Amino acid sequence: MHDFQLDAGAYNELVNLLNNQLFTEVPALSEVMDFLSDDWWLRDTAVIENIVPREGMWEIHLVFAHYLQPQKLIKRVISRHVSKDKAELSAWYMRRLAAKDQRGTLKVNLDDFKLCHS
Amino acid sequence: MGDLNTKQKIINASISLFNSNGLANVRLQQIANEIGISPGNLAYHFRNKEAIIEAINDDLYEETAEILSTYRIFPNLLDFDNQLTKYFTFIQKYPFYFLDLLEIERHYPDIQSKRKAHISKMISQIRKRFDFNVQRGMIVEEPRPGVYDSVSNAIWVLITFWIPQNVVRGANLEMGTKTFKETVWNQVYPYLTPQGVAEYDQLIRPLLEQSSDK
Repeated sequence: MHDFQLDAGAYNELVNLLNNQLFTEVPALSEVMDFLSDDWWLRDTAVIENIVPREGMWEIHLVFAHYLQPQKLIKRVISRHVSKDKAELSAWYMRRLAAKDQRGTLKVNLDDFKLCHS
Repeated sequence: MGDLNTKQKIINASISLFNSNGLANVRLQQIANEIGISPGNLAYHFRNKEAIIEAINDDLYEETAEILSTYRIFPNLLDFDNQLTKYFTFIQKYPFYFLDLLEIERHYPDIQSKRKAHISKMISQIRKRFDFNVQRGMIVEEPRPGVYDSVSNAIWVLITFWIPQNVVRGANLEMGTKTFKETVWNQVYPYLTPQGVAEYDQLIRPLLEQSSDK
């Protein structure tokens, strides 16, 4: 282990990188993460339920996506169930409860994601 | 465990004997006497003086690496002050190493070559501190190319030869942390910007005033 030596040039470069960290790695503004606490926008979201197997149980995730800006989304883990059928049923009710329009008329338009298919 | 303790005892006794008598004036018999073991027992752990010096050097190497790893813990002038304190503790712990530098250079070239890697890292860290603080606006732009290289070298010389120069000039000289750190900081001070002076006054001066010269 002791036999390995960085050459002086490489070492200088490393120290430079350490120095530059202070100037390049600036912490983001706290407002950037405001959406986590500011949940008013959740009123205007489409809700998608998602059931994933985890640790031997079925976990219900609800994905809330703003119906005008689908990039603004948040995922929440709601609960876990032993049976998949029960999880699906609970997820369906939870989505109905969480969604603004219970009839499901607000839909996320796929084009809003501006995905490039090429 | 018993072995480890005896080994460590031998190393500790050797360091203290080397520090008080000088590297060349210590015999294995003296080291054995110091911790009350037989020379045979000592030879079982270390076959000769060179082996002891090598073991001490490994500790020295680890400690220097530890000091070098404290680069950029604080994003301000405190960082250098913090490292200076560590350097001072280090040179006080192993004065023989600095007093007998030439002796080690001559008789134990392997040890010296290991040390050289750390020397260049140490100088380049000091040099990069200048760049870093120029970027922060604490130190003025280099007045002409090469000035900060020489100042960095001078600071390295100061740290490395602090103990020998004190011994040469007389034992009654003040050798404390305060004088040491002040002397090093005074190399940097002329290059501080007004903002740098303000930071120095706020962070470093109170620390220097607190530190003792014992």
